[in-house]
Amino acid sequence: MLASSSSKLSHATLVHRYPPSKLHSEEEMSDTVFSSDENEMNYKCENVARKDDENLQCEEFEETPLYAAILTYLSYAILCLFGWLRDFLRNSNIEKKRGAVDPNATLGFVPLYQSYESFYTRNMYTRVRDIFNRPIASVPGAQFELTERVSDDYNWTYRYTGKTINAINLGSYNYLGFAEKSGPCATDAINALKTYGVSSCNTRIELGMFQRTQRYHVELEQLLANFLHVESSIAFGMGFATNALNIPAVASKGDLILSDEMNHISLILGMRLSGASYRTFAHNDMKDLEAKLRAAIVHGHPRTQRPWKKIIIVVEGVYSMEGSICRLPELIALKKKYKAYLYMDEAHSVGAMGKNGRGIVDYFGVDANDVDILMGTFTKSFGSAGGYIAGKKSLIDHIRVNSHSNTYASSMSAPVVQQIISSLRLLKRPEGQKRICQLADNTRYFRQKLVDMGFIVYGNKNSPVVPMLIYMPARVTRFNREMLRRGIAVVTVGFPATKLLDARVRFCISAAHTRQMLDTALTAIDEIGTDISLRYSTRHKSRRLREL
Amino acid sequence: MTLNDHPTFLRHKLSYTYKNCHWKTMLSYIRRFFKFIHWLYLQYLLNTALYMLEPWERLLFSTLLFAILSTALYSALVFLPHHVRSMIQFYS
Repeated sequence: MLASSSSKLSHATLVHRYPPSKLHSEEEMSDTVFSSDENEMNYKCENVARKDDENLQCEEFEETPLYAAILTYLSYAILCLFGWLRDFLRNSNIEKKRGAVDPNATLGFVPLYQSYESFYTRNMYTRVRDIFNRPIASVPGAQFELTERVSDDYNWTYRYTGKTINAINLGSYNYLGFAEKSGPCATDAINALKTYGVSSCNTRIELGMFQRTQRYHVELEQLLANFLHVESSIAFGMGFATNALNIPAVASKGDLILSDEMNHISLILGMRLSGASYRTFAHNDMKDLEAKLRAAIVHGHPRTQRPWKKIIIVVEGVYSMEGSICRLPELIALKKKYKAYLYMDEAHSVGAMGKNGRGIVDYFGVDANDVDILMGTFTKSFGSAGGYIAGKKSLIDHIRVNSHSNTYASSMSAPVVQQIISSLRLLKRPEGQKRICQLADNTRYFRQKLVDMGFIVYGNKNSPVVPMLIYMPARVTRFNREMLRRGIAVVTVGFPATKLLDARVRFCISAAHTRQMLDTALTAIDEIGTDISLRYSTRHKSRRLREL
Repeated sequence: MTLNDHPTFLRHKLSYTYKNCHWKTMLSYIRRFFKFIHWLYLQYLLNTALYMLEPWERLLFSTLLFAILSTALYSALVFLPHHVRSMIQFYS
């Protein structure tokens, strides 16, 4: 079953098979054997038939089983009751107050901060705080070191034992495996540090652009524009700030923004900051979007009935909590029909999706000029930091002059830029193609095994973000702790980041994971899933890993 | 102080051949039974979120639950036959 790349072969052989029908869903697609250089990764690359649109958009969101919903509400009710009991004990001074207390109230001032979520933080989050926000002690590659911490008073304070735990990393956004401290990218970044130091000490517009023999910022933008097949691009120092500070440059009062309901908070912040009106449409629902577009064009402003100046549709390429992919061909058709603009945030999909790693545009095979504003980040797939906006040259020139982050934020640091340049150059070579293939292979294998075992997994089968649902808070904590005991670090998310019912564990697959690591993880998930009965799915039969 | 110091995955693989004497297989059945009870207790803790609470809170909740259930059971055992009989008499 495993096709190993032997060093004796000197050419690439391609074996195509027909795309799988519903009867033979376990058949592999094809085998590609590359000639290997000094790389010793054993992998099997699969080529999917690209023109099969229904195959590309195959997503599944299974409904919550009723007993899981009831038990989750019951758990939160019991936690609430005990929260009230403990708060009563704390307020009546029977028990000591452990959290931070605002001293202004005792001096007669109005309290400085009042967060209504602090009930949740004190009584539910702090009890299991050791599974969140774990400090790491090494570079977050496929395997890394976690600092071990122990709490004597139920997670109010920690003490560090000094040891580190070696764990498989299923939580970092390391899709192409560029988070490494040795290799060509790291060497180039160190040389850049030696040439230019760490900071540019100025904004981009004033004196912050590096150019000597290597033209860092300019080269980055040109490379990026060539990579994405667009006219021009501009890069910023922070991905969140790219969204939050550049949407005001393209939208203003009198515009309408239609955004997906699962959009990231950076997009929502940017929309609010711009002063435009915004409405949400149901997640990935093109009929709802079309209805809202038609209503907006027909009725105009809610009070004055004046037509909107422009309408912008804001979507994300891969949604980080759901694992779903936006329906790009239908969006482009809608956009052309109703003359709206499209802003796509490809934070998790650039580098990770598509045959050449160019993102969702490459995945669906559409023209990159059809999407008006392409946005992405360098944090996830390129192992660096920062964000970019790409599109037509007129748009980018407008943003260069009118963007807050270009004018006021300090420019990107030289080693960070060099890391991105090196990784972009690497992606063009066969070694980069291998990484992309390895990621696609890992993703499909992992997802298929999880679904076959009977777990509920959301999202598109090709997205490297794999959310698996565990509804109850106690099962979430037990899962996380048991995985860590078996040497696998995962990220579990609960209430404020997701809906109350849908607590989940989100696996981020990387090209640096070997098949063996994934098998270790799957064995552990299988064991723990049996122990705490996580196999909720009714569409797929529950099976143990040894039966697959 | 983590709550899971129990070494669950130290499994002793016993061979169930016919050559083994009966007390060894009996011991394995008893062990599996205790494991099953432990698994049931874990399910109770997980489904009611008691897994996240401190030991004294677990004791409090379990005591209250046991008190309510036992009261309901006792009243049912004492009063139900008489109620059912008088209902049958009333409706016939």
